[in-house]
Amino acid sequence: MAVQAFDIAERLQTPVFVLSDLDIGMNDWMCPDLEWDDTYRPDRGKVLSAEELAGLDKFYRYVDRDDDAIPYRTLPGVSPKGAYFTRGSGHNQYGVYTEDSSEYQVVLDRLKRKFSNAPRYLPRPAVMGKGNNEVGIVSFGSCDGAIREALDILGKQKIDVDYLRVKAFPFNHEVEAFLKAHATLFVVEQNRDAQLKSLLTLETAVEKSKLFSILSYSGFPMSAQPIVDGIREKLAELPRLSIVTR
Amino acid sequence: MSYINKPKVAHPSLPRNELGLTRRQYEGSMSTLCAGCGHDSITAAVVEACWGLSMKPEQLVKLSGIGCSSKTTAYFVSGSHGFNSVHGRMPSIASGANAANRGLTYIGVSGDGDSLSIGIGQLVHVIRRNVNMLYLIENNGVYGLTKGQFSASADIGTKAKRGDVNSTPPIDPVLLALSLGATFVARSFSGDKAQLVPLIQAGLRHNGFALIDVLSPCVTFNDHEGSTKSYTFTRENYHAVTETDFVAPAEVISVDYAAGESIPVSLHDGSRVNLRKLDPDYDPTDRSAAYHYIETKLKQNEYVTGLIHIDESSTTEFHNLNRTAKVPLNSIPFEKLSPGRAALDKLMGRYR
Repeated sequence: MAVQAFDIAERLQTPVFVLSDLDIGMNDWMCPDLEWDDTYRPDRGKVLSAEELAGLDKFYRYVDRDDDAIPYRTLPGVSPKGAYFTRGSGHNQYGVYTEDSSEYQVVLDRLKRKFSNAPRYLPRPAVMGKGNNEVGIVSFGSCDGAIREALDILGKQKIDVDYLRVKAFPFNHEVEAFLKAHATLFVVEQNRDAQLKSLLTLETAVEKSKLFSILSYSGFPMSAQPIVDGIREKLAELPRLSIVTR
Repeated sequence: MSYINKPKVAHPSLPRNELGLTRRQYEGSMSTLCAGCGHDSITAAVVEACWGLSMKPEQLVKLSGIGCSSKTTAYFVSGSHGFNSVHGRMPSIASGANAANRGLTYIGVSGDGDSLSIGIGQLVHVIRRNVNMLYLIENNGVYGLTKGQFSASADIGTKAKRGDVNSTPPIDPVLLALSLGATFVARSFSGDKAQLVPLIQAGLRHNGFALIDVLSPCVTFNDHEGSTKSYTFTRENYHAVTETDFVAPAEVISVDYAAGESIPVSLHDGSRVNLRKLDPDYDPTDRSAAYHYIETKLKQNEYVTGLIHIDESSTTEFHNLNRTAKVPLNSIPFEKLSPGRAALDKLMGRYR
């Protein structure tokens, strides 16, 4: 994941945050052998070499030459032609200080397009289940173990639940499709404020009324039982239960 | 704005350095600071210093945080890469860039707010790590961008423009750097270009962390009667303890001083700093003595200026300690950077 994070950061020219938590970071975990693909080569993104710079009339740091909202950058020490100033104040697409609203908005609009396009470079979500499109779980991170165990227990009780684990933000279109396809959705997360659920309602067209939170914030790692209980209780209230159970 | 944008046309008679470049080619974009700001004089000194060293513009990296001072990296050497970091976080960016490419020259510009309040944690560690860079503090004792509140370098008894008197003890960056073992510590005044230029040149060539605290009066918020960082107060309470001449490697052989007049200190690149002591009791190579001297003079409200301490014998320079790659990381082929699958398997074998 760290390798991929560096590639994404260089491709999109933006910081990438790798989320962890106390459970992942401080507890002992069994995990498969770490693997390394010797054919892997890093993606340095759009970096101009000294030769490429020599072929340009002039280099502008923030001009969208390829119409993909990602401009070219240069490395220090390569050529005075590639010099640019990463400023803390407003600038135009030529990298020059500006207080002109329209020039400034061109830069902000490009950034907006870049973030809208970002999911194509990000990890796709992991989807599990039979795809019955009735009940689904959406979650992320260290809830995974507890959810898999809960799915197992529910399966034995003849309740089939699909599961999507979000692996990146901004959300991939598959997240939206999963939300759209399922009639009832449980958003499982380990925080008091249902932050993932909030993001889902902000960033997708999902109906809020079909999202139900299952939250764990006791200070301990999440276990499977609250997920099983949460789903069973809610499904008992809903007429759909008969459709889901086998 | 302090002046109109000058056209980028060089008069044919302008003097040129070894690279054939004029001073104009070391300038940057137009300053948007207040007319008369001390920071613009420091910018001019940096331009002069880089021109004098015949530095290739693309070999310089300019880094800064947030504040009036930090804006100035846009105003010199437009042929260099520059980066405005998050407030007080310039040392992290400088350390990272430096670790990745030791072949470039790094200049960090910061202010008393950026360095002594929000960024003091970063400053002390970049000193401790002895990162090879020149760190300029453009010190005016106030937060200029936020309209003149006292900063952490404001002296006791100094008066704000509105009349408030500061009673909180200041942090002195020179004493701070000396206490942390910095190997190049200087203080100067934005109004003394003759002193500042050789200090900047020596700081850029010093092998390790070089700090220059430059008193730089804020004409808008801290240049009134009662302020201890005004032009008038600084000029009246300015005490040069050393005079510094920077001598480039090519000139070293031809320039000499009579014994007893100067302390010649050889820098790692073959250049030399000639220090003339103005106070016979002062020894700039003795850190403890320097600390005591500066502290005593500060109590007497005197700003001691010049190259206050230099130690070219230190072995703690960042690259030396960390054995960093001699060539830029971006020029090392990936095959050489990645130990590959076999090495990973071997490593994991140790944990079975």
